[in-house]
Amino acid sequence: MDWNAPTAGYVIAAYIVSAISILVLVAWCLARDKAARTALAKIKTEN
Amino acid sequence: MQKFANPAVFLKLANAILPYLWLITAVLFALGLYGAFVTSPADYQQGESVRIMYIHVPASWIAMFAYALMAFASAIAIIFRHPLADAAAKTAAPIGAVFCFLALATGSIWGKPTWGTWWVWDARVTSMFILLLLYVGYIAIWQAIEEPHLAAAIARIVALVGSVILPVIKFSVDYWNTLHQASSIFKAGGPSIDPSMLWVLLVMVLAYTTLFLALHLVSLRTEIATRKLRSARLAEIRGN
Repeated sequence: MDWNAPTAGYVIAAYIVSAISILVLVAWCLARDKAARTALAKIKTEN
Repeated sequence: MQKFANPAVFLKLANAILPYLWLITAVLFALGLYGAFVTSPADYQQGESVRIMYIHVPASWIAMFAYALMAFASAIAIIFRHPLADAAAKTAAPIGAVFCFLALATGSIWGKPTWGTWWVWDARVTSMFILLLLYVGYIAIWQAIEEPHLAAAIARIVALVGSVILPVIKFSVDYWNTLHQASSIFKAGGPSIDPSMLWVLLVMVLAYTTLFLALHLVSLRTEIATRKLRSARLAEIRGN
C-alpha cells in the first residue's frame, strides 16, 4: 500500500468506517447477550 | 434439522461452536487485512482505491445473505410454525442492516475517486438502498408491535415479499446501464479478477461470513434468553 497515493485517504476512511461499525455491532450484540443471560440466571436463582 | 432447531440442543451446540468461530474469524481477518494492505497490488486503473473492494464486496454479500436467510427462516416459520425460525429471522435483521449500511458507505467512499461522485441513483446503488429501507422497516415492525405473534406474522410477510429485491440487486448491473461495474466473480468463463487480488477477496468474504455467523449465534442465544425471561416474568405475575 502506498500511503502517499492521492486515493490513500479514501481507503483509510473506508476501513475506519467499517472497523468502527463492526466493533460497535459486536459490542452491542455481546452486551445484550450478557444482560439477557445475567437477568435469566438471576430469576432462576431466585426461584 | 428439526433436532438442531430445538432451543436446548441449539444453545448447547452454539456455546460449543462460538469460541472456535470467533477464533476462525480473527485469523481470517488478520490474513485478509494482511493481504489487503501488504500483498495485494494496486489496480492499474483505480490505483490504491481498489483496496476498498476487500471490505465493500464482503459487506454487500453479507447484506444480501442475511436478508435471504431472513426470507428462508420466515418461510420455515410459516410452513413448520417453529419458534426458532422467527427468532432466526428477527436476529439476522440488525446485523444485516449494519452490513447493508457498510456496503453503501464504503461504496460511496469508493465512488468518489472512481466515479467522481459520492452517490448516484443508478440501479445497483438504488436497489441496495431499498434493501436498507426493507431492513429498517422489518426491524421497526418488531419494535413497534408489542404482541409478538402479530409482529412475527407481519414480519414474515415483509421478509418474504422484500426478498424480490435480491435478484434485482444481483442482476441490476446486467439489465440496466449503470456506473457500477459488472459482476467479476460469479460470471460465465470464471472470475476476471487477478489471482493476487482474488484470494484476498475470498478470504475477506469468508471472514465476514464467519463474523456474521458468530454474531447471529450470539443474537439467537440472546433472543432465546429474552423469551425465557419474558415467560418467567409472566409466570411470576400470574402467580401473584
